[in-house]
Amino acid sequence: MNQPDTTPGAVVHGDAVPGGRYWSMVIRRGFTLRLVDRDGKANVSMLLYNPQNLLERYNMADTLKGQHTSKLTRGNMLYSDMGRVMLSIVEDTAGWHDTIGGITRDADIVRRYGEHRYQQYRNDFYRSGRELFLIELAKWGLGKRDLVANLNFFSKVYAGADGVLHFDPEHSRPGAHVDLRAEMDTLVVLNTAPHPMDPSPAYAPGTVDLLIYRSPPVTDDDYCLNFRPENARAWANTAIHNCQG
Amino acid sequence: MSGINLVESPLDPAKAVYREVVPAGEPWLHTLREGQTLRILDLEGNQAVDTLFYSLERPTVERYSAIDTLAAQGNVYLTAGTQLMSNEGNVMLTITADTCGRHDTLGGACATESNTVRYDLEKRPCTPVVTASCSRWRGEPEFGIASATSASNINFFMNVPVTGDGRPDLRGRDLGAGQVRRAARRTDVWCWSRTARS
Repeated sequence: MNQPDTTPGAVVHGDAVPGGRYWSMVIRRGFTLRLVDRDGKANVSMLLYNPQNLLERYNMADTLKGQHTSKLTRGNMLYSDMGRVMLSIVEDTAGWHDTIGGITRDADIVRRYGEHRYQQYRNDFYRSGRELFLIELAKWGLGKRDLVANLNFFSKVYAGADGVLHFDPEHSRPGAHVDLRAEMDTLVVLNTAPHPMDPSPAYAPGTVDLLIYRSPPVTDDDYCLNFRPENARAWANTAIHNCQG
Repeated sequence: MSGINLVESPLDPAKAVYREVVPAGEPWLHTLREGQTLRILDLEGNQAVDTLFYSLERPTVERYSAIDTLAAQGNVYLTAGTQLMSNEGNVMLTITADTCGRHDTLGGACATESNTVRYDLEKRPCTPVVTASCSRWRGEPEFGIASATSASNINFFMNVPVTGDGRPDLRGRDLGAGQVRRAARRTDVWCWSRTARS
């Protein structure tokens, strides 16, 4: 097994993001980002970019097509549009993460939860996933045109035989976590707004705890590397990228 | 919506204002004005038509979005009745007629780099049609589409079943049990708005 060292001394950095907030950081190759759904109510919407060339970013279609799946869990790698692995899901106690459900817009939030503006509610005001992404993306010179299909960790969206999309409101649970190992330096931009298909009548997205660990070396028997033959090839492409320094 | 919705078009091809045959593997781009309808005809069967849509007014900002389209209709397949949504949440086009019944928007387009992952590191087999189209646009100053903005596309005539346990057969074309190549499948896309704003 190739799990990160999760003993307290091995944690390089820890942070907590309450529901309805945003966060970003470059996770360098060799480090693993752990997301913890503290209360079982979190949705973590995420976009990934190459900090050396922001035109390279997470690609939903290539990730799903390359691994013949519509869900993401342990073993899956998150591909960029350049045929490389940005992050690998090396551990996962939730079992399913969404990448086709998208994010909420401002109008969705007002329609579902009512208007809660800063003027009246201060830091308890409601914001959409799109708004939160745009705030955080702006810090990196990115904007609307850089919003592509995103990940939604701890959320499960599945299609019925007729293609109708369903959301599982009982999917996650307190303490569920997922470990994302950076295979190349990766700008991680995330927010904790509710999933757009979350049927809850209250705007009450949960807190996510973030921990960054140093990753053990990737060995030939690595689970993610051997999960699909495509993963080994994407990883080889990444190795070429990484030798460019 | 069942995910398959066969609807014949009342439009007469003899009255079309424009017609072109696009050979396999070649890019094509054209402007659609509000109120116009584009018919895509699979002449020989088994052809996928990778398609991107951009706002004429703001091509670098507003474009077709797969996830917004899926979210708007709550269904993973495109068929007659589907409204094709932009990344700004506006209806760009509507599929008004469809004799194929199901089209994919999750599978994305092929590219040289992703093909090294899917097939072989030593092979660069793809004719990157979408990229070629975008490059052609870049040559025209009024556009300015970079590869980064070719993020999500439609694969007309591609059937990519997605199962409830998360296993799509993304290799599958529209060739299910007992099904043979069907030529002359038609899809009409009506341009709803060319000046969509949020």
